[in-house]
Amino acid sequence: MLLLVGFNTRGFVLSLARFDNILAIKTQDGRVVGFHAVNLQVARLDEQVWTALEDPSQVRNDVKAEVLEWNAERDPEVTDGRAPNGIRTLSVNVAQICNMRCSYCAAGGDGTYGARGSKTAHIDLEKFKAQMRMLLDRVPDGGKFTINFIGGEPLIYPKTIQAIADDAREWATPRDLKLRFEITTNATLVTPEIAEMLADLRAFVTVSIDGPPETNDLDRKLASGKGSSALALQGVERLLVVQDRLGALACNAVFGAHNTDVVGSWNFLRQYPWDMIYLGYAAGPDDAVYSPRYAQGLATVAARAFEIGGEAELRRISQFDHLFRILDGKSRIHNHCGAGKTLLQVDTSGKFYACNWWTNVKEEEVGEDLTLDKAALEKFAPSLIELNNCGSCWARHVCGGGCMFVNRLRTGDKHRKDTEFCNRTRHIIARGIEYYEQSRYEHGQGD
Amino acid sequence: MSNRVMNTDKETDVKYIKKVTANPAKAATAQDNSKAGVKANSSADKAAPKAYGMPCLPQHSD
Ligand code: SF4
Repeated sequence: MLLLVGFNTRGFVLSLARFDNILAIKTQDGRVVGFHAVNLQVARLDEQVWTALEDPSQVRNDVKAEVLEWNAERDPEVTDGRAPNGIRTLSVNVAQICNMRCSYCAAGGDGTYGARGSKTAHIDLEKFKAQMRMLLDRVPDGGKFTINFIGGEPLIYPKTIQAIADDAREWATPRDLKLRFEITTNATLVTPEIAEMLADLRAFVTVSIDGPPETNDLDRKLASGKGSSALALQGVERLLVVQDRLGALACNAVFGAHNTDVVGSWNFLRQYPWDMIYLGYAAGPDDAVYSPRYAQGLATVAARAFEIGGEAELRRISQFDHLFRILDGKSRIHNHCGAGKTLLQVDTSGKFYACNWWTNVKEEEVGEDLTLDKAALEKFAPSLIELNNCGSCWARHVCGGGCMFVNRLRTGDKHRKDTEFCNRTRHIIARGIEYYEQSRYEHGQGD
Repeated sequence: MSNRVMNTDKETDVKYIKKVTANPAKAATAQDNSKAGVKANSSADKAAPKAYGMPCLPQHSD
């Protein structure tokens, strides 16, 4: 006998029904879209399949048979996207100070991660170089390695960034290692010279900016108390001059209790020729209120983007590009990110953490100087779907098990899932699947 | 090939579930596609399958 379960997700304008591996999504224009959670296949479903999932007694046996057949099917082309073995990304707090005071800052509001007055504003360069070389030495010849500059505001110390890059290149060249440099910056300190330096590094630059000045200046203020938009946008203009020589130029807007106007922000940000637009969410204590608003806002943005420019415009938004890549690439995801597996964070004093949001969190230290705590790192080795007990969640092979930082913040345990995180993640993925179905169904292969 | 039903041996039978066809070419090149995605650093980058979900910052995504 079929066991069919139908449900609506709490607080969202989203209709879902599910049977085992099969999820059905009722779209606002009345289509029914199917998603196979293991095969990562997407399908257009007959209304009768929806009925079958809600109330199997109402439909003919051949409908049920087709559902069962698809449910049991395994696509041999779908592979498992496994993390490579060993650390491939080193994220570094170049500075633990900032020239800004954002209201929702994950680094303590001033870039210090709560360590105000400490002597660690600037990275210990020699110590860091030794750590970087140690990790580069572990990468096989010809392999890839990413160095990610964050802060505080990393561009407070551009010479340090140049010195690190020079040293990495010197160390990597004889072994033909492929280096990639990334930086997250508020852009307020970008001079023409700094833009040129970033172009020379072929850096992947992400600018933190929340939207139009009237929004951005409310929460992203300079240390002086003035809004940061004028300076940030000047920096953006300077980066646009060298955009063709950058790895990419992206923006990252952050939503949360301070701002849920995703539509307003996107309307402003999309006017700039970013290679990618990140519209992220900063988890907080009142997520039951704000997280659904954010998810709904992002869904509205997706609808408008798709209407304006189809797949290309939708895929300028990172979450949707990512989803399309996973579905087209037929690769099951097992990890939300590489924290502790392929990614390490190192702070200005030379302490290692698995995640870049855990700087200064003593319990999450996984090493210091040239010593990595093997036992601590081994705990990160299993897949996040396993570690976070995602079980049979339909979104698991797209989501990859969720964010340990958000879990820790919201539930006190990095492996205990946060319901609001799951709700908004599934909402965004379900919406994305609708547009994927529309793009691939209507245009077909090779379009 | 629009509206293609993938389990070809059953093409005539399948009526209620029409699978859409994934387009691996778009997965491989999306990030390289004009301004539709992040430009790749090298050909190796372009072809790399995704290993991670939907992380907080771009650096965690490859
Ligand atoms: S949505 Fe939640 S349960 Fe599902 S995979 Fe992500 S973290 Fe796990």
